[in-house]
Amino acid sequence: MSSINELMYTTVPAIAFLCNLFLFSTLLTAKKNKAVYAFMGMLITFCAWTGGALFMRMELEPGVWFWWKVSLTGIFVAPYMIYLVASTFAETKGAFLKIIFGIITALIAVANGFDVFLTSPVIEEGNGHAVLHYSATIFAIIPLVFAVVVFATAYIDIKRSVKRNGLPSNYVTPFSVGVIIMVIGDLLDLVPLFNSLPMDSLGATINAVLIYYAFYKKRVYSLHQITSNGAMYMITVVITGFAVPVLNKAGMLVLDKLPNVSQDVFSMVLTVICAALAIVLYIVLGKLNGALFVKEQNRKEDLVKEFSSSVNTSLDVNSIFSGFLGLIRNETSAEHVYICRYDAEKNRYVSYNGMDTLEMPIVLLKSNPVINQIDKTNSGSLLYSEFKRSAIYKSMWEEEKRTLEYLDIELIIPFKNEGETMGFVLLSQKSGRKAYTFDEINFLESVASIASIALKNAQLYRQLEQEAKRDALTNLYNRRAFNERLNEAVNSSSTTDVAMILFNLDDFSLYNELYGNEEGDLMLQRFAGILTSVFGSKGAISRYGGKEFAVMLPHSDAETARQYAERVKVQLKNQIDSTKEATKKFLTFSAAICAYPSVASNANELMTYVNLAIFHIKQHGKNNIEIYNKQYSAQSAGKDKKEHIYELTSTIYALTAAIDAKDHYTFNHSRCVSEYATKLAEFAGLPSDYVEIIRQAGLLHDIGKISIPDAILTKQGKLTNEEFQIMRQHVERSIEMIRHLPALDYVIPAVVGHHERFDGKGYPRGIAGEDIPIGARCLSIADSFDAMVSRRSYKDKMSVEASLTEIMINLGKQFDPELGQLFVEKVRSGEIEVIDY
Amino acid sequence: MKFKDKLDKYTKAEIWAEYCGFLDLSMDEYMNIQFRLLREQIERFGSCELGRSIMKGQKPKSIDEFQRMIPLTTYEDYQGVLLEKREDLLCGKPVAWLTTTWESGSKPEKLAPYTREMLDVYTRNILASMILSTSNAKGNFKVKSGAKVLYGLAPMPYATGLFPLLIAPEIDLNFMPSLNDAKYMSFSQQTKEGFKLAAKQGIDQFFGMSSVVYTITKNFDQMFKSGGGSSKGKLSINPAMMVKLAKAKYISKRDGVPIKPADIFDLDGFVCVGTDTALYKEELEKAWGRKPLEIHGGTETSCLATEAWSRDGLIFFPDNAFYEFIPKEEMLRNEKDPSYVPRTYLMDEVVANEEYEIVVTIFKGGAFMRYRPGDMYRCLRTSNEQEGIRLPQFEYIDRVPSVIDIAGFTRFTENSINTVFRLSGLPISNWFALKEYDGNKNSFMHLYVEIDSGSPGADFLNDQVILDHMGAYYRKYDHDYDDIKRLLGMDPAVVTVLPEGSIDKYKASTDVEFRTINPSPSQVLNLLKMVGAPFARGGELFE
Repeated sequence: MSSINELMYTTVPAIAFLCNLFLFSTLLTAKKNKAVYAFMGMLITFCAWTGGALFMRMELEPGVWFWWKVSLTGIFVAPYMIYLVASTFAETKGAFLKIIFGIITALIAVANGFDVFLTSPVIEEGNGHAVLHYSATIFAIIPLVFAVVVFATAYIDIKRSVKRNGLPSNYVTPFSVGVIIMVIGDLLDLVPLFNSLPMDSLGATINAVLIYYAFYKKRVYSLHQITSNGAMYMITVVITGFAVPVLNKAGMLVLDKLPNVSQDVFSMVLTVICAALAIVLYIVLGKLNGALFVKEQNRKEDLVKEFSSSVNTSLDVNSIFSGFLGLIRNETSAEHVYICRYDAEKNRYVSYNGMDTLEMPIVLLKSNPVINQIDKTNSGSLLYSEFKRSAIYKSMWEEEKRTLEYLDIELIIPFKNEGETMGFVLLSQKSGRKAYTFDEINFLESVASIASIALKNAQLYRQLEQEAKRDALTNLYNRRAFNERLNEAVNSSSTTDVAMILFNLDDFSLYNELYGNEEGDLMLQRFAGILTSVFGSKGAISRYGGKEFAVMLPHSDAETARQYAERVKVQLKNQIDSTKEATKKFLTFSAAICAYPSVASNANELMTYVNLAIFHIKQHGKNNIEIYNKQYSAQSAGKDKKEHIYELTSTIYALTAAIDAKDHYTFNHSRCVSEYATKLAEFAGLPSDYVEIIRQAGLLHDIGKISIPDAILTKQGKLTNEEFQIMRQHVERSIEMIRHLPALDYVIPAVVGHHERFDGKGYPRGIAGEDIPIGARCLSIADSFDAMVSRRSYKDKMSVEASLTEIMINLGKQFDPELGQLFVEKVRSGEIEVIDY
Repeated sequence: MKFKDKLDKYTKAEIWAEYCGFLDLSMDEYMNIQFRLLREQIERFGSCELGRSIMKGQKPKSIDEFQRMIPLTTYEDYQGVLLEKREDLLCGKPVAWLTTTWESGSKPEKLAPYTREMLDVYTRNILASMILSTSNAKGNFKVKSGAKVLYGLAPMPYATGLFPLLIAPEIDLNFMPSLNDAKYMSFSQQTKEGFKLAAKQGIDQFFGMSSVVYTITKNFDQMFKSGGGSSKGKLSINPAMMVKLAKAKYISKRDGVPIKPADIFDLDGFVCVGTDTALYKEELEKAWGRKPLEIHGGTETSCLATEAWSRDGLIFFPDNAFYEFIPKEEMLRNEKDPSYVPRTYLMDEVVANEEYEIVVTIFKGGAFMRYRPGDMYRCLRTSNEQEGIRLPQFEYIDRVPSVIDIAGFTRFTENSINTVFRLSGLPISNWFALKEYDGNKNSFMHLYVEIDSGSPGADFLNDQVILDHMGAYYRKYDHDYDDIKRLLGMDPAVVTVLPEGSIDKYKASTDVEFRTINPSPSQVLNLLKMVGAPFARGGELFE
């Protein structure tokens, strides 16, 4: 029984004193501000209080009375110091009360020196334990009442602060509880049972620790600020300094019992003990510091460095992710960790395979408000519980909420690069649902930031690799990549067929001519889309050339490939039919199919055969799908364009006869236009092949009128606007007819452009100047001239001179100025004869 | 986490941001919430039978398609499913069904289902209104656990009955009377009991239907002296209240002025709901010393809008429903020609000072899409720079012109009046009705009738006989009719008999359309003058 009290008699104040001293020392290196200074002042007071009590009990020099006074001064000054701490904590303005309370405290401290409040104590040994004997005077009520007033004021200040700043009440709980414990400790000293125990010291120390925590929570200082070697030295010096008199006193007691030991020896032993204490203390504190703060910090820094060096040399996304995942799993106590990365094709984030077992992959759309919030923040993380309390959270779908809540997600850390969120890591709640600390989030953000850079590099590398294999316009494989794939497939397949389809868009240059290159590019992209949707991942799809697409289908025979090609044909037709434009754009393709090893014996032969088949289809009316047949003659491949031009004269005459049967006027008109244009082309010095093309174009330029209803074609009087629009379509109709004739498509540019105007106000494309093919410019003059000098159902013929004048007036507007001038001159000179019909 | 726990854990700024943060949204952010939740609702609605029938099997992919493909709806479009409570045909499982009078329908009541998610949104929005009602400036509010709350709200299954039920689990409030006691009371008893308790214990917050609050306020002095201030039960009076009561009585007696609520109560929050709130606001502020915060909603529409701290315009909650607005001209054109489809505008397309009929699509598994609840709003401004609010603010005008709403309790339409005439067998040959207000700002329906002189007993019919007859049948047809007289002490209708043929005669004399419900007051005056019927006029006549 006695031993407990005896032990507590000095142990409690010793622990209390050292504790206060330690807290004080740690603040020496902290960044100072008003609050820290006030708190340090309070800790000094508490050191005086507890230290005084300790040294008094140990009856150290200069004596009990001195330490009694030191301790009491600490007690009397403590309320004021607590008030100062409370004021800074509550951010109270004004100095009036501080000054008043300061003066009163000073007066009380002085009065204490004269035993005004308490008599000096006497320590008596009795029943095995020491008892302090002292008595209070009537004036002791003064510091007591003053303490009550000061604490009440501090309480009101804090209350007001809570209200003013809208702080939650638990924010100041440690502060309030600490003061209450301290007051209880003081009151317990008055209870006889605790008379010999320093309950006040214990209370004061608990109060100091709680206030220390309250300030830490308020982020007045961070624990990292207060840990350094300097602080450790200082704490060692201070504690050793205070330990010397204690050791001296203890040594003197021992010395009394050992008469043989000299004073010198004693001094030497004492010095060695003090030095040893200092060393041990420094080592222990250093270890404590290292264990608590620095070691952990260093370890994490090392981890970050290690991770950085490992991922920075990797260009593989998967290895970066797995390294990142491993690190996070080791370093956090999150129940689950998931990584999601961006899927640009579907504009969403999908969980990365190879992590916690998921029944279903996690899918978060790019439009998910969580992602938007992450995008907005600068590489920072997002606490889901905080996000849930924002207005933007309102826009979350229930399904989106359920996904994150089912996974119990609390922290989301993005991988960002140049403001772009490439992915993110989802961390579920920590075990025990503890909050993620600032330091943890900081660490995770650092690691994620390193991973982001590595990911970006890996993605760029992958992108470049992909780009080198892809066609920029359609994103399909390019020729080189396709050939590689084809060779791979052929080399690895000896038993089953590898089919190849070569799609060649019919008259695509004409398509570009008619609708422009931009529309042509769009069509190529749409066609690529159709191929992708039909073939998907069944084979390799490529843009093999300008208007050529090749598809390789492993494990497929030619017939299967043909069925696929038919589906492509249907889809292309559907797409063209679904457009709402008045005049449907035409586009067809020729597709040739061949298979290895059943027909071709290697990849090169496969290519040759499909090319031959394409040529054959083109020669036989285009717009067809054919499987390569060995009977195909390669002879026709040798014919050149020139031969075709002259070979087809009979076909042209057959066509013009068809016009004649429907509308004799148009037949004559075509004949005359052909004649005028041919002459003009000759006089303009065009090559003979081209002159022949113009002649044929002249004959065919109005062939589309076959499809114009007779009522419009032969109408007497002016056409209505609607009728005119129908009439205008004859240009496109002409082309549709001509293009199906093998090898006649070379006349098309001239036919297409014969209603274009030199100033760009014509149709169908509105092109101007020399962008209009020269053949078309010749036809334009000839067509207009013949229209003027001939009789129509609705008008009389104009005189030749008037017609030539009209051409002259429109030089540079409707007509090419040079060609128009030449034409007028040649007609006037009689070199071009005017045909009358 | 419950709201009360948040009060302990978070700062005021954090709580404000969570509940009232939507007031800081930009128009784009607001519309983003609207569009996203609409997309969610289209998906959900399209997956149920009711949704497929309303959307005609289509799933709009854009707002243009939504407006083009989905027709504007009324309760008739839903009645087969909702009145039968066919939960299997809905897109969300209802956890509550609310009821209201169906003024123009074939059945006396309308039912509206509420899913769990809808109630969650409702709760959050009601708490936001409660916070705002205690605020005088942005971010500053005074909500505390244990606050004494007086509520003059129609009980469940009416929409307002949800308020206390949803708030109670979130924060410990001292409802007067307690929600448990209120279960066994009529609305009238509940209001009176609440007031008695308030007189003894004081009030921190007051939620009430505007018409009820206004009636209490008008009769405060009388009610207080006869009920709350009686010696009966004085022992249970809170001492602070006793001092306030004594002081108020003394001053009232000394100065000969009636006792005002502000003399006794010091409200932290004051929320008013219902039609005509704007009309009463100023007087309520004078009487209670605090300007009421107006909120608006309905049975089918949930809690739609609240005022902000400045209390000068309703702001629609972004997560409750998708809002569309039919300009008044379009609405009238559609009323004249039901085949005409009026154009609707979105929240970011409304124009200041324009009047609109609202159209709502309830989010979170709600049953109504492009639904016309029949409420008219005026857009006061499209943003309020002074208050830092970047969203449109509105004023509730009234029901659509084809409906006469009396004090938020009952509604009269052409259909309901004709039904009552038919049921009662009254020989009414022609009639029209409009909403009017008496000297106490109480609204009532003024019904002008012509009696078929050829019918037997026509000679015995006068204003009062017709009113009594009508009242008897109306009470059967519409339960709320009775509540008005009991609670507000007023007749919801007044009848004036016109000479036979008056209405046709007037119609023949003018080219301007004469509406059966709510014709313009000047038209009514001209009609009365034309047929020589009496009308109120002050001053002396020349002759």
